[in-house]
Amino acid sequence: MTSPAAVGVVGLFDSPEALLAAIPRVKARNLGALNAYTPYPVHGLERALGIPRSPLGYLVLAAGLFGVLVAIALQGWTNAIDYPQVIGGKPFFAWPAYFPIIFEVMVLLSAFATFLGMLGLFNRLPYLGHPLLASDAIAEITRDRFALSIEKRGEHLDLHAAEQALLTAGSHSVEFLFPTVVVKEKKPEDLPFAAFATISLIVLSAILAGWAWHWVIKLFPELPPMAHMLAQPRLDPQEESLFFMDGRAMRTPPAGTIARGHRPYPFQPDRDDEKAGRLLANPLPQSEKVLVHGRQVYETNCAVCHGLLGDGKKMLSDKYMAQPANLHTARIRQYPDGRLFHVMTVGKGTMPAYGPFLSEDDRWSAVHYLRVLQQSQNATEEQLAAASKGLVFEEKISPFGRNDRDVSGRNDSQEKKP
Amino acid sequence: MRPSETRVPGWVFMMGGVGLVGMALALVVTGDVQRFFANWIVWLVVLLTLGLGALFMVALEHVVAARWSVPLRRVPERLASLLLLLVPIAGIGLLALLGSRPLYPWAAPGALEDKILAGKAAWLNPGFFTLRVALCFLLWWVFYAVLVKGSLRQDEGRDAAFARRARRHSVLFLLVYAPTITLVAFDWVMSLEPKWRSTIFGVYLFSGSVWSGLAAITLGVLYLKKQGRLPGVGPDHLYNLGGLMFAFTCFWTYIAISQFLLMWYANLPEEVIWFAHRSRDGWGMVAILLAVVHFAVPFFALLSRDAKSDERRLSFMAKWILGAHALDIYFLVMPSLERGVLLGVMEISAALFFIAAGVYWAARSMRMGADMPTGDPNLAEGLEFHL
Repeated sequence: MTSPAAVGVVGLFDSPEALLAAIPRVKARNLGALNAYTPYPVHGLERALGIPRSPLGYLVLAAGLFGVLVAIALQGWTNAIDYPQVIGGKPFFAWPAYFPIIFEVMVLLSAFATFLGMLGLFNRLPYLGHPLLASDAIAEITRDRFALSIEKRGEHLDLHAAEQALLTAGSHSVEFLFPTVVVKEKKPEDLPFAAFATISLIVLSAILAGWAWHWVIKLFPELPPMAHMLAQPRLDPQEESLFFMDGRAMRTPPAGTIARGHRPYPFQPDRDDEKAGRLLANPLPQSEKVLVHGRQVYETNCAVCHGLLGDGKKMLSDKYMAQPANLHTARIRQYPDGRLFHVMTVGKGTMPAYGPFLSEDDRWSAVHYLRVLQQSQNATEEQLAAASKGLVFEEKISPFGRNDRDVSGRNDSQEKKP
Repeated sequence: MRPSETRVPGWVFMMGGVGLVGMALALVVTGDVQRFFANWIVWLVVLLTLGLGALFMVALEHVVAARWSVPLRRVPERLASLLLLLVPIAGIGLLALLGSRPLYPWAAPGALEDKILAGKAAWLNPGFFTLRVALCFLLWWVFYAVLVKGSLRQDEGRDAAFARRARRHSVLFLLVYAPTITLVAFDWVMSLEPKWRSTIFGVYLFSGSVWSGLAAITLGVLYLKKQGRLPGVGPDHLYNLGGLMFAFTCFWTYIAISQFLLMWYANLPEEVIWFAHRSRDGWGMVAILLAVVHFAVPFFALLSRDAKSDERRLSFMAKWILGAHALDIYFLVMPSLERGVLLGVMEISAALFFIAAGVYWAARSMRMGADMPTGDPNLAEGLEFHL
């Protein structure tokens, strides 16, 4: 015996027919685990070796059906439950539209199950270094020879008997198999740690990449990969549109119609200004939530003309002839909420009606915010002193040293500074 | 191999007789010519697609130089003979119904007053329609003669050059098959609703054609194998037939979904009207039934590896598939009449008669030539086939 450490014997055959003929003869001796190695798939080999049908198919079927359920649940939940949205006049749960995704997810999970299941569960990877790889026979097998091996099953393998069995079965060249160097150095006990380290590394890098990406998107929203979120085909307020005859993107509903979610509005422009101010009351509380929303509405729709401070210094080009109202005049400050709401709704002079574009809550919120703007520009010394009492000024600094609160160029602390 | 042993069982004649009497009675009692011809169309298309599907498989084998199917090739060759007499006889009925004009709206009196139908009159008129039908049959006969008769002559050792020629002619046949089955789909079925159009309709009928052709081939192979007339044909050959039936189950579903999904999405009135006719008046239930019968059941029944080579299961599924194909064609044709789900003495009698006629013809055809193409040089290699 050359070495007591040999774990198997491999014999080479010249043709698949010789290999298939040898298998039953060697198998009858029942010396150890039989395995065949061929340069290409040989028909009937599994049957001859008695390899049972792989259960992988059931795993793939389960994964595929699971994929179907996942895809239905994902689309149903996002489209019909979490963010219901009418698309193309279809019902929220528009199941025919789900077919392509259902199919794709089914295929994806089936493919994962096939690939990972084959590697992990049935090939028992990671298998660091099969003894055959260190043999001389492997070069022949990957070229044009067909090999049959008897490998150690359990504790004992009668190497001599195995060698004889292969030779009598017609093998012309027999070789002992030894454990490879890799297997010697890597103890099986090390494997769990290696697997743990690998998985941890993947998870950590995913977390790191996600964290970095989060900040990149937050700080540089106009960076090319994300820019498509900024440049959308939709029409923004005050934008020009070549599609319509009058060139305006902001469309008013056809005469005699009311948009979904809106109510008929009883007051006429100009004529009913005073009446509307008397009869309408602001239904919204002056809460922080309302004011934040009102500011957003104001800065989106009103500030282009009236300015971010409401002083009538327009942000549009000076070529624009009309002079928007300064909202801090004594006259406008005295208007009741209802009158401001009325002007927003039906327009005034050059100012178009915003009723069709903004919900009632939007407009009432903007009225509240307008009051805050007026207060900020016309506060008395006493009011400022009272408001700033006990306040601590602090700058919020982002990791990149940029004050990300002050995006609009307007200073929030105007009210508070003496 | 004793081809003359094929005897047509007695129940086929009884079934055909009952069907014929039933059809005649229903026609005389109700006088419903439209319904009679609608059933005629259904079964004409079923038999035609089946025969064409068989001839397609013959041509496919020659084109791709398949070896595994050589021992089985005589079965599709024999089944393709459906195109020889049975389908043309039914085709004469198709032309006859043009004369009585009860079925196709574009052939009805006064059709030309409709602006849309008048616009399509250059294509949809009885003269040109007849010409197209005749042209289709002529082309199919030519290729049947070239491919099937040539194969029979090869067996007798009189046509050594057949193997090489068959390949070239099969390529030609595939080029003819695609437009002719599209013509069948567009002319015979789609023009039942002449204002509706679907460009994928030809592919739809093609998928059903090959699917039903494969099922019929499987039944024929199992029948001959049971009689011991296909020695050497084993489970691996059957496995391929099962696999192909499974594949075309998915292919049909893919095409059917493609047709439905795009029209459902766009929701254009002139397109969805066809599906509206197939979701109202009880047809919605038939549509669901079709999805189950034509996709879900064959898909899961043929999914496992064992099912594809198990003779009993394959035999059952092949019959199931033929039934599902008939239901599919029924679903294509009948709702166009806009008369609700029609299922009565007429439909059952028509089914009995045409199934009996098909079985009779298929059984008779099993006497044609040797059971295997003994003259084919690749026969031995085909018998050696293992997965």
